[in-house]
Amino acid sequence: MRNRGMNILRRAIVMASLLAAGLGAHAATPAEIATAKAYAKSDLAGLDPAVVDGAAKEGELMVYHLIYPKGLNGVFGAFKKRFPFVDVKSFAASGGPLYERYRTEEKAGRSTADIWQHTSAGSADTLAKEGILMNWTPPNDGRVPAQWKRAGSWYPIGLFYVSLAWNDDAVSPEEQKLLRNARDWNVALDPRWKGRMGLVHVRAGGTTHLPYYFYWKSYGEKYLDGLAAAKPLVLDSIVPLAERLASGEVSMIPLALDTIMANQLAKGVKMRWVYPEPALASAYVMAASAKSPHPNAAKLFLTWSLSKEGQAAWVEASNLAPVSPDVEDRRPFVKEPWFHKPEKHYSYQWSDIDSSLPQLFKVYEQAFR
Amino acid sequence: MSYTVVQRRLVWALMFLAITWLVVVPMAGLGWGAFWSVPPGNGDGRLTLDNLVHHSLSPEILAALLNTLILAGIVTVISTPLGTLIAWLVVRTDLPWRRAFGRLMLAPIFLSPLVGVLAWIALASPRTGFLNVAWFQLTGIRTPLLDVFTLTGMVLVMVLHYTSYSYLYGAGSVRSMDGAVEEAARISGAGTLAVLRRVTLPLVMPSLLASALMIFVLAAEQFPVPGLLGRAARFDTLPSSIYFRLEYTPTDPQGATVAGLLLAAVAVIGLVLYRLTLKQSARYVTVSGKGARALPLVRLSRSVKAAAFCGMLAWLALALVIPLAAIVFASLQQFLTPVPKLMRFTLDNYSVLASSEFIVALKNTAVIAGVVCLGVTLLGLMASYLICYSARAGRILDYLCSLPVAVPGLALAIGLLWMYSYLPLGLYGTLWILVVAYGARFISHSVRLGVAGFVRVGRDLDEAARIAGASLLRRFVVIHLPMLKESFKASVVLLLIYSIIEVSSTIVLYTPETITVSVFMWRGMQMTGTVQVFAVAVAQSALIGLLLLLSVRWLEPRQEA
Repeated sequence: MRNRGMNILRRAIVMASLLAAGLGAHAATPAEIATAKAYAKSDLAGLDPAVVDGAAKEGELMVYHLIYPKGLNGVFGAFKKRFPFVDVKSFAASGGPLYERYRTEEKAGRSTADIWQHTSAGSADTLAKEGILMNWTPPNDGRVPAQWKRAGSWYPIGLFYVSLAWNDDAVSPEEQKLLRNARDWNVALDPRWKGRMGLVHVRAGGTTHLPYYFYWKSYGEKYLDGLAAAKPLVLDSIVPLAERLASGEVSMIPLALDTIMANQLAKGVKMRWVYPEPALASAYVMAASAKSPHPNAAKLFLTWSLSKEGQAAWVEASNLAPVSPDVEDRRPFVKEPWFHKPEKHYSYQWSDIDSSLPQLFKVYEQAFR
Repeated sequence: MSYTVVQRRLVWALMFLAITWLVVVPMAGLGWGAFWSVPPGNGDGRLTLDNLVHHSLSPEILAALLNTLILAGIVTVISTPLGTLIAWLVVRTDLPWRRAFGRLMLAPIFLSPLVGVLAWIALASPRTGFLNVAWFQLTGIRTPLLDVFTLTGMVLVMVLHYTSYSYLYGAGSVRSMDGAVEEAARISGAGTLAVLRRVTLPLVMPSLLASALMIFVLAAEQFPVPGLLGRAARFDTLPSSIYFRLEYTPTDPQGATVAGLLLAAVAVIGLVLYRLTLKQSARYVTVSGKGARALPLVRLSRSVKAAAFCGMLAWLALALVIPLAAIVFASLQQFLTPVPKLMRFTLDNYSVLASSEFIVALKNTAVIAGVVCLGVTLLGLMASYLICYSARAGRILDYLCSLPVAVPGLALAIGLLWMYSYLPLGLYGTLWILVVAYGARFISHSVRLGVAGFVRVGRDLDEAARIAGASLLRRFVVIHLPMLKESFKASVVLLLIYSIIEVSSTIVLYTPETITVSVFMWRGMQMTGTVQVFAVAVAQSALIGLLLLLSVRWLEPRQEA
């Protein structure tokens, strides 16, 4: 009996070891490296072949990324198809925690991140100034418009829009009409939304900074007072809030991200949204770490992400609007009859938002205390 | 110097070193952080009182402190007598199905508070909770039966959880009483109520007070419930305030550290009370080398029996059956809704269990739980032996071991973060820093269970062995370990479960490589979505249920088997 037990234990250890070995990266073969270099030469023109060699030696990449309800298997799978010798690991969190964790770990010299993402270009600028981001220009950086990048520092993967979203099953036909015809953001202050509105806390992350800053600067503090008067359900992330909208716990969200709402729509929820004007849009940005443990893999991933194939993979996985003009917008909801692209956009500088944050937080606390 | 003396001193020294390292290092880190001008990794700092003055007097922290005391106080006042009453009914009376009730009463301990809160969000969200929607339809009333996002909701979720702890402590105490004392009272003419009031209650009082202290401390440091429900109710407690200060922009590590210190101050008061309780317990030694008599069952009248039976069924439905049914039902929905015409069912949510991140989390949880439940139990029982058998040094060790009991896991983790960011030990970012954190957090439970066992055993057996020439280690292994097997088993099971469901300290210390299942669930609330988290909650509860089934015979005392 004892011997049998020991045998089982031994087998379990062997199986666990095999499994652990299987989960890791395999050593790059010369053929794989040659194929990868050929691909890089044609599609990532200008990339130093030594980067591919270096990535093959490093064999690993850690991506700290934002929340994507569908996951990023599509993106990582597409990258691995081209570079099978790089094992991609990932860590996801919402904007605020992701920024704070990454920054704290980098300052303490304990970070394992090679690639970092965020929704706030202002936060990316802060990290760049602190020397946390890698100062390197991918050879294909011209593929994305200047307004969505900081050359040599951070780059976009797609655009998100802040929308006014509702659940058709949780509002009356009259309310549907009111929301569908919303031309500006004042519709959120209608007293009918009292106890039926959902918000995300201003300190929860980058995507919240933009709308709250806009409300404050464009409509004044009274707008935030009006939102607070509706006694909204305030959560720390848009993902659970979107689920509350799907369940009917809240009826309307005035700072919903279309990328997240699209996920609920795909599940069959009668989720609808409009973009009151001026529309609020920004880019999800991505950068490599200055102290990246795998610098070549980080450069390779960044460069590939800017390629047409990379941008298309990101857009497909994220429901973000394409940044590059040659990438097709294949988001399913753009074909819906109720969907309307916005025309006028809000013009702003992330540096202004970033420098105003302490004051914005105070205004928010006063309104929602 | 004799060999025995050298051996004793060596054991003492090693014990002190291990406990000090485990407990004092994070506490020192917490203290240092409160008086240091910059967070770890932010350049050179200096000692300052500014953090303490600025934060401890801030209205937000004072409000959080008050909220913590209110919430923990209410939960303690309800849970402690309720759990003890149930323990008495189950252990000492002829209540039908009492053995089954006894086993099921332990189950809510194994249902993590995070799972409990998820279930009650599904059940009692004000507009779409399953219970509330049923209430609307049955009565036509539009006011929810229960809004989980309120103080009442938080109290309900926590009472349903912590009453089982009170039961656990109460049952052990009631079970280990010498029946001869009650029998003597009955022979003298005392009735059931008089025996309960004048004999049984005073005998279990030390255990009741210790249980109350324990529940107060656990409720005060409770993080998932106020973290998920309190934020929506704008009811921040110290732990949720700490988390918020650490996670969201801009972070405030100093404020979080000061909040942790404030909770430690509450713990000091608890510790003093605990010491007093322990002193009183010496009056109630009921097991000794002279042998003890089995307990006779109290016969309940038919009406009391029926009321108690229905009460137990209702309790178990609320604490166990309904929440578990809710998470299973919710895990099968494409999106959470109580409206039948909108419901869409799927098994896709369970695909999250095959994700690489979950598999990493599962592996990490298994390693940490295994190391902690065995290692910390042995260390704790040895420490409790020294606490009980050495007056002066034992007192110091007792205080040392009890220190982390009331310090919230979040604050303890901050202390570890401070210390291990600077100490060149390579622990930061590894599973071992989590083992150290769990050890520091949980050793007090193991020590308390050990001390309770030693108090009941009495000193005469040990003294007889010592006079016969047995060494300290020999006495511990030969005499005390066999007599403490109930404490040992309870500690192993308790720490195993604590390790599996721990969230508070892990949420600060984890890295992508060291994520655990509980943190996976917490993060999933923000990322993968609630319905997927329900699937993980079902899997975690099933795993724990399996462990419970396996350990139930192991835990049950022989005379009840």
